[in-house]
Amino acid sequence: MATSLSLPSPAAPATHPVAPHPDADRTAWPALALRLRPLAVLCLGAGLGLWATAATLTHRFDPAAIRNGPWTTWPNVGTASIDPYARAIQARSGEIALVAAEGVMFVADRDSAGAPLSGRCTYRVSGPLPYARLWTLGLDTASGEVVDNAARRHAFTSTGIVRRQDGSFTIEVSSVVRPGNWLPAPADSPFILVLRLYETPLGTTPAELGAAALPTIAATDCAG
Amino acid sequence: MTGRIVPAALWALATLFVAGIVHLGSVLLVPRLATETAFARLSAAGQGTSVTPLPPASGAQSPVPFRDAALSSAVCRYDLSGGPLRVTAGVVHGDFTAVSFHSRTGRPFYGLTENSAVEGKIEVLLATAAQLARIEAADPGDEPIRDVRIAAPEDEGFVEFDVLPRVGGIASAERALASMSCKVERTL
Repeated sequence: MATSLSLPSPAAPATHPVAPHPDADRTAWPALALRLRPLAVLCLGAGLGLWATAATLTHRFDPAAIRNGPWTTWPNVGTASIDPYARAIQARSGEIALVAAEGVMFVADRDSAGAPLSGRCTYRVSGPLPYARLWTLGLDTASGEVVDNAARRHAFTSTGIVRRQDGSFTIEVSSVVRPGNWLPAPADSPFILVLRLYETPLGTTPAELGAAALPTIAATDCAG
Repeated sequence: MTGRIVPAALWALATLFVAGIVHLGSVLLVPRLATETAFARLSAAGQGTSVTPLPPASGAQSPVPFRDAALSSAVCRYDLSGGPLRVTAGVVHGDFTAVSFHSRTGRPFYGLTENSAVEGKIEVLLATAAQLARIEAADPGDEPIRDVRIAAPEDEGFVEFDVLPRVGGIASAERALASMSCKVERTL
């Protein structure tokens, strides 16, 4: 390369059209840096892009996600037109999508007041549910593993739940034993609640998923 | 000042542009390049097209995360390059039963429940688009077609069977899962 040998020439500014008046004190080194700038842009851009991808996969961030109170779901996640982010997230985690014809999945990592779910609190999950042939409420770690517990109870189903006379119910999520519908939670680690509605007429459009009446998650008795 | 700020902003914009392209491209490539996909994890769970029950989601041996601990499941992997796959699932009245189809790179392309069962059985013929065209060409013109035929977007993938018995618990679920089958049809 003759670049380092040649003095700043009248031709040099032409390589960088947006800076037609280079400073008089520019030496060979800034000239080289100028030429390396496209390379720097490519490297930095590629690095940033890959970092963004890694971050979205790690945090399960999907720009198409739909929030409904404390619950999050993803449109079209169980169809062939699954959005690319959800597909990448699932490929990375190794999970199997719940097919739309089978059901819809909602995930909560916080309570209805917006605080992250924690074993220090007891939560009362109650309220309305969209019609479904069957539903289940389970408790997982943030990465989708079932949390083992002494009671060996990992999920409630709509058929296995104790209801009040009017058909309503409350599930208590707590790390300490509760009477009634008790879903054991880990005492000292974060967790998520997963609500699955099977064979539901609930649509997969963002509007329907975002407007569905879902149970509230109310924190009570927070210790410490 | 502006003589320096404007070029710097343009270079920064160019960097962001490159970052955006790389980000979107890599998100699209992840399903093909990931090594720990559900398909890969299930390959450890069973060989060929045999239907393999998955260990309970509540145990430590569950090969895939985010499973419903209330359901019992089984899977079979398929490779349609050897011929179309006939998938059958026996249905016990009142038990929730679902069959779902997933491509190797994580496209969930079809699913059905026991509502679609005929005479106590869910039956689906899974084939590539080319195989479907050949099957349809060979159809007799004057007989009704009984098969539910599904076109698979990729040659490889897996079928998942889910069961939640109304009564009888795990033993009943295992009996139901034992009646599921995936068989390669070589009659083309």
